[in-house]
Amino acid sequence: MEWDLFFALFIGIAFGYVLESAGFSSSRRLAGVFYGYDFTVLRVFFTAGVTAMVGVFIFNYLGWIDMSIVYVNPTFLWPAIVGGVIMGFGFILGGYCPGTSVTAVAIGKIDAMVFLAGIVLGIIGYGEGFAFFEQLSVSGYLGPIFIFDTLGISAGWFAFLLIAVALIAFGVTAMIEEKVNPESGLVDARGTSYFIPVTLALLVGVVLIFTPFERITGLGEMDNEELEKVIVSDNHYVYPDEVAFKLLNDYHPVILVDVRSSADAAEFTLPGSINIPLVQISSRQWRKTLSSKEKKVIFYSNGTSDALKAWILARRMGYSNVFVLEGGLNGFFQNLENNPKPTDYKLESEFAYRFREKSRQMFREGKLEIKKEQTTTADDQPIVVAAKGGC
Amino acid sequence: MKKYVFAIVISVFAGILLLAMIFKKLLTSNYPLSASQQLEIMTSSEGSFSLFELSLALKSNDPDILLIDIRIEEDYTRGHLPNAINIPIELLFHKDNAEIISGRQEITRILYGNTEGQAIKANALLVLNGYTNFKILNGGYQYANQFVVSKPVPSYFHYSDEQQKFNYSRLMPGGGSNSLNVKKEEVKVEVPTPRGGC
Repeated sequence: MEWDLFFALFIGIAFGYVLESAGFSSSRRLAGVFYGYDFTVLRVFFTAGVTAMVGVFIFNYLGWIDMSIVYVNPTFLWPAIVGGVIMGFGFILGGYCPGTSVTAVAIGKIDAMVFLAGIVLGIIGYGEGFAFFEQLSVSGYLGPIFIFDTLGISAGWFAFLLIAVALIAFGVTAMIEEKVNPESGLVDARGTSYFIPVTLALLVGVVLIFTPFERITGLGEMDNEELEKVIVSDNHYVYPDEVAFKLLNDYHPVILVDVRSSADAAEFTLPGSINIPLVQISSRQWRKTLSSKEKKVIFYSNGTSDALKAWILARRMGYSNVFVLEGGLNGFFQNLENNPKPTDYKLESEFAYRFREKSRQMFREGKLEIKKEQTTTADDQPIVVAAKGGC
Repeated sequence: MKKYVFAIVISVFAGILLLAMIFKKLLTSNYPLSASQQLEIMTSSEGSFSLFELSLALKSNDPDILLIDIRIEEDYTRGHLPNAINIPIELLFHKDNAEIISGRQEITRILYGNTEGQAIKANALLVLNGYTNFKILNGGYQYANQFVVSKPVPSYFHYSDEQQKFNYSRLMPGGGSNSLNVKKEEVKVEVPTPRGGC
């Protein structure tokens, strides 16, 4: 049996009921928000948004919903602006928004029926003329962005701020209503104390500040069974040649991570690499560095063991773009020093041989001096961000 | 009166959610051990078994030491360490092997594969499922067979995969002088973390 449809029906009826009982089937009330005599629309939708946000937050923290399978709409900037303007015009002209027009039709309002017919016509028109709008409908693509990422604050802080803004908006709109229309306003609620609900809401906001909310940004612990499969598979190694290429060509999108102790790294480390000692790999301060999406993160140690351990931990913690240098530093130099002359006359093995010979010489002569400086400053950036975003 | 009932209902609901958040760890955790606990177990020196210890164990024929070969069956039949039993990595949690994996705790269980890496993976799987008393044979089967079983070579008895085999600084003089930068980065990062307070 298809339970999705059942739930959809149930939620739809509940939604319609709430809209109707909030008085949203009256176009007067809906248009009131534009004239300043009735802000019920703003209050109801703000409350709904804040409630949903708190619910998503807490359920995510408790593991009751899996945010990684919740679809987040990507943002298309220009169509959003154009559509918003059209929707606003329609709203103030017709006195309904799409959802409320349906509730108004359900209670038999004729203007709402005309409005709904207009919606249907608009849908058909858009569908038929899609070829014409197609260019616009995908312009200004920003991906599934989050406002807290853009602002550079944590999701918890954003939740708190939104709750505070909602409460302030409630107070301000109540004052405006009183000024514009002293007769109606919040007649039935006059004289009640809002102390308890306001404190409760703020308290919830404060709790949210300290609630980790990681999954929505793609960083939650990996599922146990999935992780086991990933660990057993053998496709997380990077060949030494790629690392040599990176050292000679700074632009290659790779972040080298030295997982040996800081004492070892002080003695020798590959130029441009970041030192994250294995024992610190689970620390939050490396989150921004390790969660890099554009650049591959390559772990290395003297051999393979420590880098492999770091990789297993990193995968468990949800970092997906991480790899291990095959053979570690030993393997890296082995590859260059014991470079066998190719015997099979194949072009690619000849190229590989020459590349290794060349890199060996350049490394021995220390010809990396200039590149090294550039790489270090470039790699500085994610770390600074990590420190800033730590809270 | 009606308003008070409403406030009480909301407070009770919020209270339940808050309690659930506090006891969340007990209710829903994907893994029996947290990431930092796992890290601690996987990096402790207790978790490795050197070739020297292996040579002693083989000589004394200690019954409390169990060698577990986690390679595929083919490799095992072609050759394995004396008295080792075969549990391919895919079958670690098969019910036939439950006795060996979670049986008597006083036995020292040692995992080995062709390389150290294979055994590290097997051990990681065990730790992820809460089994923490396994050790990894340094060097893996190749080194153990060549330098302990067939022909004991004491100079290899303390071999480990992480041993430095080259003088890196000589082969790449540009690398060593990087140390200053590394130090600086570390300080820069560690200062802001406690300041955040969460």
